[in-house]
Amino acid sequence: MSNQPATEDNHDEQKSKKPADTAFKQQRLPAWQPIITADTALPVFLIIGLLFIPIGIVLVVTSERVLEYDLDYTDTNCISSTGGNVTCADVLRSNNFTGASCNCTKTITLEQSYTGEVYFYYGLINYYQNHRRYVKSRDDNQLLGKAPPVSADCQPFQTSANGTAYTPCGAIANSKFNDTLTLSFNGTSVPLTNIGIAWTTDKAVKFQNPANPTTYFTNASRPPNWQKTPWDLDTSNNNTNNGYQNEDFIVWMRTAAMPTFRKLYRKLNLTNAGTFQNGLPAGNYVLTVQYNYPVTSFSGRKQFIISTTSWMGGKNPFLGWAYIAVGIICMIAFVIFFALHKTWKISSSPEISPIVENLSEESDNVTLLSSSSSVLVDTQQSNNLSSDSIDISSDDKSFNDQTSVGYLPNTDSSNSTMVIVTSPSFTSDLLSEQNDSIDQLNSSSLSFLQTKQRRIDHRRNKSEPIKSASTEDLASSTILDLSSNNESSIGKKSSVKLTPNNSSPLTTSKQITLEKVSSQSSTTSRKKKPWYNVSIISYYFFIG
Amino acid sequence: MGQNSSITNLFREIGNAVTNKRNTMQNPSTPHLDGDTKRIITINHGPQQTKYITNNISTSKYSFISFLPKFLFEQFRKYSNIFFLCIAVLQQIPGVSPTGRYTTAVPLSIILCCAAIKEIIEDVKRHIQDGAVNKRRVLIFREGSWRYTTWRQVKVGDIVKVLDNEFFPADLVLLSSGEPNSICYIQTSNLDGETNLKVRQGLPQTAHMISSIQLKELLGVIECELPNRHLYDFAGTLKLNNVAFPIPLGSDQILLRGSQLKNTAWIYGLVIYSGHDTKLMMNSSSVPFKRTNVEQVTNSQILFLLLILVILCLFSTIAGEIWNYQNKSAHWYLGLTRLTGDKTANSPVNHFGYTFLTFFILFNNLIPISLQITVDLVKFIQAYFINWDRDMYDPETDTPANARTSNLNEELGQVKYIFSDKTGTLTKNVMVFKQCSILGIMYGSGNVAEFNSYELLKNLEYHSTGSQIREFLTLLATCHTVVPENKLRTESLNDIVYQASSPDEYALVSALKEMGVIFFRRTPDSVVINFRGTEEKYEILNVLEFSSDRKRMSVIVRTPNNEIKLFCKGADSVIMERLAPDEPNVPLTMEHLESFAKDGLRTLCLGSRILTNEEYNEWLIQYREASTAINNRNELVAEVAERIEQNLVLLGATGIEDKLQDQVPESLSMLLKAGIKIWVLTGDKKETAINIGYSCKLLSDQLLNLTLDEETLDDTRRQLREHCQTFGDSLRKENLASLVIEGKTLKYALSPSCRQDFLDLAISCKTVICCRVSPKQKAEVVELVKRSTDDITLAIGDGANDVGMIQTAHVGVGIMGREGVQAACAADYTIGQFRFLTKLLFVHGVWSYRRLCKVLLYSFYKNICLYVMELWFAFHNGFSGQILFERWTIAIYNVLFTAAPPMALGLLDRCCSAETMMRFPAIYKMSQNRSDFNIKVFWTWCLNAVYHSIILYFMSYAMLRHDVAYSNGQVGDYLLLGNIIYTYVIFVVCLKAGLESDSWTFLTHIAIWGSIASWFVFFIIYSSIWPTIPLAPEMRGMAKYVFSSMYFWLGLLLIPITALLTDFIYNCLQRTLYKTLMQEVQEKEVANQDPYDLVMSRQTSTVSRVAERLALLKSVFVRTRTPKMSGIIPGPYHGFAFSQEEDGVVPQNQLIRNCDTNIQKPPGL
Repeated sequence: MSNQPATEDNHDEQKSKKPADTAFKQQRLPAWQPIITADTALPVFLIIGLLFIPIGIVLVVTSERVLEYDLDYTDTNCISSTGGNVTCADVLRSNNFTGASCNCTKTITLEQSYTGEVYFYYGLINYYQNHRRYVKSRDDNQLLGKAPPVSADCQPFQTSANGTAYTPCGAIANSKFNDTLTLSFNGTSVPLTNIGIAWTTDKAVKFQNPANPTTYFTNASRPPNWQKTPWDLDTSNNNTNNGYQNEDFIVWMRTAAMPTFRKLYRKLNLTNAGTFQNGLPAGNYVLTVQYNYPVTSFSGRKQFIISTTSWMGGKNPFLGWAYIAVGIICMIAFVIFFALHKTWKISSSPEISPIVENLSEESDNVTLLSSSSSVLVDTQQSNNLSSDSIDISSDDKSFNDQTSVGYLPNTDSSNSTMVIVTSPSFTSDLLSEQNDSIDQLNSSSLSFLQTKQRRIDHRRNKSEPIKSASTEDLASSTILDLSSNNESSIGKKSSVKLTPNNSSPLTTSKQITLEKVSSQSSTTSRKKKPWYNVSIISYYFFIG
Repeated sequence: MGQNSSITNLFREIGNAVTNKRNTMQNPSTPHLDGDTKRIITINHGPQQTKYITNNISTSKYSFISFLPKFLFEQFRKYSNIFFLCIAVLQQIPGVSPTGRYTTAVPLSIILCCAAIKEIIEDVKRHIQDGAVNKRRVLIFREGSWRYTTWRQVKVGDIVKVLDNEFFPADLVLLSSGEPNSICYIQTSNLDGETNLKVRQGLPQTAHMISSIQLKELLGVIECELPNRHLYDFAGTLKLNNVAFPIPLGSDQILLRGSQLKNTAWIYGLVIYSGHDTKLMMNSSSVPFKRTNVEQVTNSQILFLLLILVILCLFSTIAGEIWNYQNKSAHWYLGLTRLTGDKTANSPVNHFGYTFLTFFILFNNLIPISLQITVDLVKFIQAYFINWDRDMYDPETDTPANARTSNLNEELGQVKYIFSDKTGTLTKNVMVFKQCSILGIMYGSGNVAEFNSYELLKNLEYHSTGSQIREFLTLLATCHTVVPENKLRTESLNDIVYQASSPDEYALVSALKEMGVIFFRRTPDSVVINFRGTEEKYEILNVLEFSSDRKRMSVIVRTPNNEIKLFCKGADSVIMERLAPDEPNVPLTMEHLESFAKDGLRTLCLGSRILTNEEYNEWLIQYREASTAINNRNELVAEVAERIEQNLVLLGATGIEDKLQDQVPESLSMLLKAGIKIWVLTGDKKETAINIGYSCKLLSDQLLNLTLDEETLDDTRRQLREHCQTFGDSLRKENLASLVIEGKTLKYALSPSCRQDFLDLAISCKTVICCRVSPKQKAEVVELVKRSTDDITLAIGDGANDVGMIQTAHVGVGIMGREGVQAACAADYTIGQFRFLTKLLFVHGVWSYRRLCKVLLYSFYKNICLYVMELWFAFHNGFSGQILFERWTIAIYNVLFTAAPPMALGLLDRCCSAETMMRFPAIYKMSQNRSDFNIKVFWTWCLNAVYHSIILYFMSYAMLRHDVAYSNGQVGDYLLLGNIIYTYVIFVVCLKAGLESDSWTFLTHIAIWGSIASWFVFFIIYSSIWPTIPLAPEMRGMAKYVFSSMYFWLGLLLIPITALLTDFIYNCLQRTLYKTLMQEVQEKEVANQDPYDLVMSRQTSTVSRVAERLALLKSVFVRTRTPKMSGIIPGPYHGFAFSQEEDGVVPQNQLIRNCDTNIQKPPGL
């Protein structure tokens, strides 16, 4: 920081250091100030509630329309077709998982016909495809068809014993799901295709076969668990679905998020469907499983799933129910806040009737002097009074138009504050009528008050915060001079008037009694409305 | 600064205090080649033998070369940066990091770059400032000729010529000046904050050198001490070739850099210390580092969070190990057995450590990496807001407010105690003659700015008291130490200007001039006045000096009528004692004095006496004897003076207004309303202090005024005890009471045995005035309060004597502009006027505090919300440390996607308008209570973040549990889920910022919506770069697939809303049921209504309670007051106060005698 005397700097610089007057620098940027209260939140809750519940219902219905059939074929549902009533799982286990294969069939009954696109999934349970070591064990450069060396990420399936890189390398590729699932209906096999089961970007960009795939793949070592080389994965489709670009492989390479997951295995080939033109008809199907994939060692489960989809995707009622639940919560919140809002408003409604009555008695008090002769809290008090009157100006536009407010700030020497509130129409009334026709003034101020009263009622209905209406009424036809220095008789009178209200024995000063009254009266309404105190005080001053 | 007390001592003490404080911080001086203990400077003899440092000064922190190492050193002293550096290093261990190798290093370097830019901006400013100073021009005499050169080229041994009103470029020895006897006046306000001019006098041996020819012949050597920081000490010798003996040089001949030549046409000075060797530079230090309350809480919470982090990591590691142990071989597809059996060969123990590190890296971002820089930047710009505030710009001195450090902004919002200096801070140190009372007739009015002399002059002519009025005016015109000067050298008396070291006298003499009684010539033994047209010469026979013990000053004059008269002015108490018996006007005058005092005027009583020749001669013998006495001269002189100052005739009294700074009483009352307790710590005497207390409305009859003025420790202790007991239950509560304490008593009160009682008593009072306190005591008092209460203290002052307390207090504020900058240099904030303090506290303080709290809480919130999700995911992935999101997307979470919302919160949030905050100081109480940031709030936010993350994670998980996210049957993967959740997190976190924002400016909108948009843009770009750019293969195509999933869009509507719904409901309930005052005011404001009644209604209850208590207390105090007890300020208060330099370089008597306005001054070519 600068050590150099700034006066020295001033000496040199002629340019004013006055900061620039921009909204940003002066922190006066116009701002929207959202205030979340019962008032403002009510519509929000209502809208959310009204919006979410229907959405939820739609989603639930959508989800319910999706047909899904699961078959867990891990063990008992897949009895080895070679006989012996052993499960394929056991066959694999007895062969020590060394690439042994086992076939089984299982009859599936679809209660409903699955119309439209039908998708076939295999599902794995308790299979941690999301394990860190597993997820990173791949080499995406290799999958672009680039030549070795492969990344060390592929450990422990990076290179084979003879030193050549595994193609494809890594644990993910090595553990590719290799059960074969076929389905037949009344003897005819259901036409399935694995074209279009992988993400298009994957197939188009991420997985590329090398320029000379045959030599590339045959020279390389295939992953230890693989029975075929990558180039033998699917030879049927002009090699567009072979090697790295094999969609089964691509699908597998997208590691699932959860230990329970499903992956798209096949979809119904509708192009040459015949009986399956409109999907799968209801009835019995035979699932033939070539059971290669061992999961029992880690208590995994394998599922075969037939499913249709909705416009959203697979069957999942959660989102729908979640929408409904949140919608209901919002509606409940709405009701609670509505109730809260109502009770709150009612408890804080003002009582102004005595002023109206007494004002009619009090007609010729145009200039009003109130004195707080005690010195203890008078500053506080006079400020209180004066600025309460100032409130008026900002309250109501329509009223504001005809009201002018004068405010003389405190001077150094005295604590007196003068507040002049004039309403042009009424003051002119006052001036002309003060002398001759007091009754007329009465009626005018009374009628004014009545309209005011109506306005207040109106507001209450609209559940808006209620402002200091009664002070307005007073002020509109009066000039208040609240002077604390002035030892006026009115002030004394007012204190006399006050004493009946004062129940406290601790009357150390008049001002304290004043305070007491106001605090008592304010406690009568739960929500403190200070203007009310003022109105009481000024009401007594009126009488004085 | 107080001229009235023994200033020299006072400032020596400061010097010492400052020195003691800083000795540890700075090396005393640069070592010289010969290792000598003195510096030898040859005059007019070519280059110096020793090479001294140049006069080039630099206050900047960095140079071009030193920037990088220094900056990095600074940055890596911060714990958070070290922490993240460690993480970045740990990530380099292969196979450990779940998030790649550079995902901490890159954000960290981005953040460091931001910090570097900020530092560079700050430092460039300093460089520019230094440059401006270094390039000033000065006239120097080198190699026999005068030439202009820049300050930086001034060398030790150069002779420079400094003209009137110029600053001294270096520390100089005064050779000669344009005034007789080579006297010159200097203003040292930059150094010590004192405005009255100091007199410096060159040596007689050099005084004749008034031309270049003579200067050329000046040959010799100056030996002086090595550069040091003592402002008031100097020792050296001048050895001239043509003078046989060495001549001693003292501080009277030294002109220090930073001070200004005044009222002297020119001086010649020889440079002895230059650049950083000057006393000014040696005394200036950087602002001490102060740690704020919020920072402390944050730090402790960070440590706690670190603990939680370690626990989380341990838990995850153990869980991971258990999972591994159970499943390693079973889950064959993972290849774990192969891995451990293979060449990598990780031993199990090592493995555990690695796993732990993995999790540590995974969870490290629970501690927000960007917190430090966000907070720094926010505070930095907040400081700019303070600097930019037009309401705090002082047009008179052209000084805007200046936040010299930005790290205390939020403390400004929590101040509970203000310790204020008096002179220059509360008062302008400008005295104005306001009223007087002559023979029981009062002239002038307290309400008018200037004295209206019409009445007085009329009475002078026509009234029966005319002769006394004349006497009164004559007294004022003659009995003083003022020096007149006609700058323009015209005959017109109107051009006379006065030099006075006493502002009171200046006020009186100036007022007289307005009335046509013009004092215009002073010779060593006479005073010539022009009394409304007639020139009158008064021969000054004797001057009986003012001292604070005597409380009066007298002169004995021979009038033109050849009468010998004693004119005396002084305190009412001393004058009244010395009046002739049965003086008729005493009661009336006393009454007037009281009325003056009530208006806060400083009063003086005037008395005169006619002496007979015999009487005078008799006394003169005694006086001469006393004034030549060797022992106890001062006492003897005072005693003799006492003898003649008897039987005075009371002429009247004067009332001088010690002008307050603008709006001081209003500002103080606002501060009091805000629940801030005000302590005035002043070096002034009790009288002056009380006087100011009254005029500032800090003291009034409506308060219970307590004074403590005890001479001994025991009395002090007893008195304190009694007071404390009398307070009873009200002790340490808010009372309408004030306390005035003498410096001496304060010394005892601060002793360990009294300290607690004093503190109890003092904090029971709304205002405390400590008078005659030394700078050290000021600091002690602040320290006491700071130590024993948790509250934030603020010290405000303008002079060097305030430096101690400014540095001690939590926040130091310096008043800049009029007075010196010593205090400003030590202060954290400088403002031009005391009244700006209200805006600084009520608006900037509260805003900064609330904003910063939000920034802090929000920064923790956003990080916890995202990163704790890795824990939930760990439950699903066997505690393997896999991340749910792509590594770079989370790495730049803090530096890009969620960087703007905290800035918006920290800079643009605004609950109420500045006007409202200024109008209702009561709002300040909210932030004073630290309701916005405490441990409870902090952990609520953290739990809120955890809650949000649970909602976000588990709802998204449930939504995509079946993997089939597309109508074409395709399935997603872990990253699809991750990116969907990440998008939701961005939404929730950004909207949460919006929910916490009280006001949305367009910049807030940009920050919030822009952050969300930035994620989308980034996401789209990032998921299409592979393999063109070999980065993020797993992200390829993500954007397309995320956006094409209906689940994503439906979830986007539902899940963020669900997460924020509770916050919304909470806010809503809180707003409806437990509104804070601030919120109510805000509502009123938004509804365009006046919140006055609201604020008042909240206050009235406490006010009445306090008022009641005061009434009770007063009665108790009145009852228990013992005759001896000085409990309540006794009797009516008369307001005596008078400022005069005592024990100065040149005594008052000599100053008068030295002066001769008739002598023509040398031109100095």
